[in-house]
Amino acid sequence: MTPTEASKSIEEKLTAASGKSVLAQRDSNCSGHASIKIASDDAPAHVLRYKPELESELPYLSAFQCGLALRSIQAKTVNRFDLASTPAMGQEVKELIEEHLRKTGSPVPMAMVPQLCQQLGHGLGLQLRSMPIAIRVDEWLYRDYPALAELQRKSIERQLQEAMHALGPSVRDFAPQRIIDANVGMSCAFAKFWAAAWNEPEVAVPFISAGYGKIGDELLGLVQSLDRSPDGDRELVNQWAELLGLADWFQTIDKQ
Amino acid sequence: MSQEYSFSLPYDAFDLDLIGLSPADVGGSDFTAKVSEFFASQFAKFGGRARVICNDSAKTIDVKWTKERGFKEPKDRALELLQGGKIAEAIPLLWTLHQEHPNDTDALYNLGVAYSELGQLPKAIAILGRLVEIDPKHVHGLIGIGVAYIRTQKLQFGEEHLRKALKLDPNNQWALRNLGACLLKQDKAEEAVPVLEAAVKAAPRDLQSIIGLGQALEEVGRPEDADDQYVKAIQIGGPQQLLDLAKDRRTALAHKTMRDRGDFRPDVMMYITGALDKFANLSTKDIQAIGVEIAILGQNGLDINDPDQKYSLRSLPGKYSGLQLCSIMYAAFKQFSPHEDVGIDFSKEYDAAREMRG
Repeated sequence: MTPTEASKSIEEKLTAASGKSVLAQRDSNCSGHASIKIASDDAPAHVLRYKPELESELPYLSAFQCGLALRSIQAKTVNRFDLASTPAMGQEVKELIEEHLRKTGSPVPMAMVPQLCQQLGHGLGLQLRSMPIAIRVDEWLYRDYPALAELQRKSIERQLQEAMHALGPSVRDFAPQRIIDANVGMSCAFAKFWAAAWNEPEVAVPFISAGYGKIGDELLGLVQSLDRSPDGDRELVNQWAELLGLADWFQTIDKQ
Repeated sequence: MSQEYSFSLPYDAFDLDLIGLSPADVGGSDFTAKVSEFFASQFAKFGGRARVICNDSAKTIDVKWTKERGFKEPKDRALELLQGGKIAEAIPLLWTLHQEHPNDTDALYNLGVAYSELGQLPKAIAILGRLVEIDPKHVHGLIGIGVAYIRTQKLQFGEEHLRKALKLDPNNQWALRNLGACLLKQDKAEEAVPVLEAAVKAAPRDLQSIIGLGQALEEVGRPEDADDQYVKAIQIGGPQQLLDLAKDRRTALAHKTMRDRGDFRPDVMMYITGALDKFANLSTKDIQAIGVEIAILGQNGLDINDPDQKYSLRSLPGKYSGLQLCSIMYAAFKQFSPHEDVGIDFSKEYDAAREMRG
């Protein structure tokens, strides 16, 4: 099986489960490396967006995004969910950022606070919504679709390197500790998963050296111990939010 | 091609529990050494190339690694040679790097220290001088040039540079240790004591600092405190030549202390008399065994100022004080090797004991 064939097979599973096909679009503004919008009742297709520069990795990106969508569709209606931020999140993130900039004498101007609130708060929500489930999808692809392994590895390596940037001093200039802790804690769980899968413990070293080894283990433990079917995803996100101290900022809500 | 990873972690973001240090240690030389050790151990078995730099000016730990076999930057290769003690081999590589990047402080530092280690001191001073000209706050550069000056016996210049380093990093163990040694060489023991005390505080297991402090304390007339330092060095353990030095200093100190207290020790005479009485019923071989056993025991230092009978021998039943054992050993050696220097002179007491026994 080639990577394209493997990707096609997963796309077909999604089509079979939802009754709708997948439409792929190049989009340099899409969030992350790629994203998928599950078709609403009146839409004809699921829309997969991906960064044009990552065209060569498309089979894996498509397989991964279709895998995420598939889990969402396979869950019982009561367990399908979106992640919503609470009113407290916007206010508290703003206060935290303002206090952080004042306290550290950061060179970041106060005028950038609204943009930072959006970037950091929204980003944290996206990470919380996707990362625990991403680990499950990636585990499935890694186990059942070896044809995708090379592209998967390339993509994961890039993600790990990007996650390591959050440890650096430049991010600390503008990001409050609480947000860094939640972000890096999740990245550590992700890194630890791949460290074990690839038997390459060094990929988790950056996060462990910064003190996130314990939270990484605990988060990964939830991925592995809670209901692993698509119906368990909502509870998994809720428990990650609880463990990361984000339950006051984000809540899972029934999918509209 | 395998992914090349890199990350940069601020000093104060490193998890200190992993290396058993406290926040007060962050940025000190013990901190950088332990951080490097930590990463070295983490990357020891991964089968690729890793590079860890503790960047003192930015206060960050910069780490880079990959499994790509071809990855070996010239700088990495040079550092590898330096760490392996292949200094002469590293010099051409370091010189090339310096030519390519004449103002690169890492290249200057490594080249200067390599020259210094090889004893090419004028070159070392020129290169390290250039380094501190470019970056007057380069602590390790200042220490390197200070050490090079000490090696050329230009002690005042050495002292001056080490003091500059300490102004920037007051707890730097290397600067403190070398300044202490430099002061001792200039007969400034009073000044050396607090410097070496700080060195020991910064690096509690550094034998050179501990023994240096012992020597400084001897110089200022604090023999008991000096002895404490030598005992500590021996207990910690380390390179044999340093341990031998500590043991030799203990022996010399004990000898001197005893002599300073009076010309004749009746207690020693009595111990020797008792020993001679016992020897009268033993063969020369048995006496030799006793003498040698005490000499071996004494290699770790016998505490002759403590009257407690805390030592025992296989070859002679009973419990003995340190002074008692030294007396027995002296008497024993007189029986089978009378001209051997056993490191302590009890000749008057020995003669008196023999006279008394008739």
